[in-house]
Amino acid sequence: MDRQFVLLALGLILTIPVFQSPIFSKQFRPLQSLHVVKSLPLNMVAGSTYEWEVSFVNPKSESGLMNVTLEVAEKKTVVGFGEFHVEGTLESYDNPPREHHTLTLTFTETGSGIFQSQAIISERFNIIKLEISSVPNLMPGEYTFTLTITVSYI
Amino acid sequence: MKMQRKKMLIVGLAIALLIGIVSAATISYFGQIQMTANVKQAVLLDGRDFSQPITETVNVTGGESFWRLHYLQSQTSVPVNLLLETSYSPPLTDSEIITTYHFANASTVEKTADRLVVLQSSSDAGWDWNVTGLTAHSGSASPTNIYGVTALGLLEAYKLTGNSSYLDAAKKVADAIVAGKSQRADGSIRSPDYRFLVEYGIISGNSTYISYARSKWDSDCANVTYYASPEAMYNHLATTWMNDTGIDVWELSNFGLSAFAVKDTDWANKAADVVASYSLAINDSDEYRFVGWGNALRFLCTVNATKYSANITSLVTTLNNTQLSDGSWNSDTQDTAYVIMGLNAAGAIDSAKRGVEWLVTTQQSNGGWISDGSEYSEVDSEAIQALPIALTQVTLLPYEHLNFYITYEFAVNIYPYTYTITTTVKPAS
Repeated sequence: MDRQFVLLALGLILTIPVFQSPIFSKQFRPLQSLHVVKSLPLNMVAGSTYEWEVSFVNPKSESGLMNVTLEVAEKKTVVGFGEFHVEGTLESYDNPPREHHTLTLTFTETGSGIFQSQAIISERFNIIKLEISSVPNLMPGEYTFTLTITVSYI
Repeated sequence: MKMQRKKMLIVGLAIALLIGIVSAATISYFGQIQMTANVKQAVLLDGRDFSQPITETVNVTGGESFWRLHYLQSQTSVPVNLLLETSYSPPLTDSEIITTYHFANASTVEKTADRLVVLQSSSDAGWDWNVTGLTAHSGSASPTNIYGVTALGLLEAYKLTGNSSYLDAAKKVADAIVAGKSQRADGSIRSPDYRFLVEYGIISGNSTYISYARSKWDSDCANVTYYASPEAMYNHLATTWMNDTGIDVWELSNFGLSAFAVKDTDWANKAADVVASYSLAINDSDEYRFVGWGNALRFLCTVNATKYSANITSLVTTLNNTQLSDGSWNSDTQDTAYVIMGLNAAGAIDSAKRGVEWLVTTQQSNGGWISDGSEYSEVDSEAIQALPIALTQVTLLPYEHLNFYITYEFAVNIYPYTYTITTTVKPAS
């Protein structure tokens, strides 16, 4: 009895490296046509709000789970929790007749300076509009904004 | 039993296979965009952010008092609550240094100060009493009793703007007072004149005027009967000047503030006792009750806020209770100005700010104020003296440029040293 369970457990454990091998594992493929529509200004002022827009094409033209992550970092200082605020909108256009859809993206700060939002996309063309603001007492410095978009289909 | 084990094994392997297939069937697309931006501070102090604070060193021997003009500049589209901080190296305690930040709308002050400069006499350096509709001095001899009080407004405007024309106009007044233009028949000068000369001397850096004010005060105390004591002064005012407790307390407070300025602390302390006593006797039948209460409050706070704390609390309560819904007292510019100065000294900032808002909104387009249908140069000056409010926190509107000045008052018994003063501004959280 015990030997059978051990074998079963070993079998299950062995499936993990097997399916993690390049043949089976989840592959990230480049997101098509991802590019900046409106860039953040090179010089920003704490307390003010700035827009950042990127567009991309839904690679499979079918429903998928979109994950948007914005990470804010600075070399000399640690970005504190609640120092930035991010609001977003997803604008989509399907294939002809090209109807316009809008969806509010709710961003949650999952870590200091890390914001995440999820949405289901199904239309062909998509524009993510971000409104990024900071508290007025933000430490001045050179901040890096990294926007990561992942779309997954099952 | 063996069959059950085999089934279990098969089911387990099937589940594992399903997980693998589902996992393998998941397709994910991934893209990343990165950019770097310089984020500047929302508010600048004298054009610098708080990582570059304003510092200066001063040699202090004890008893020094000076001021510095600064400005705040908002670069952001949202209102910002600001906190001002000053530190000293070596560190100083609150009993060794009093640091006060004075904020006012510079354009309101400038309009009035510009008008006072235009209305000043080119011959005797004074002003007409009633300046309604005037665009220049009338050419008549200026009244002798409004030199110092009117010029104090010019000094306030200079501290807030740095406009040298206001200091130049104030110098003409200081010279006129020294030349005797404001003297009474008995040879004494007017109650605010001593204080004006001291303040002008501090601001201009010319100690001659401070020395003159002190020696003139001493000589007037020695030679003019009613200067002998604050009690004698009050009796003189009540019997020979105006039978109104409010205005008599107001005038004795003016003398007390001057005594304090020329460092006759004994006279100032005794005057405070008299003012504290008579301020309780001011009542609603006194026409000048508001200027009396307001100036008494200012004087008592200046001399010894701890000793007179009960009087101060009582006066603040009275003044808060008598403020009209529009923010004024008695809908009168002079009354409101003196009450604001008193509340400001007492730290009753909320009601003082509402009074300031009323003054700002009732200012005429020419920069003056109308009281009882007329404009008076003295009242115009008193209004701008009341405008700067002492704040440690201020709300800066989007893209606003705001002038303010800091006063530093070092205690007399401070350890003589070269102190480093560091001033920073931080948006309050």
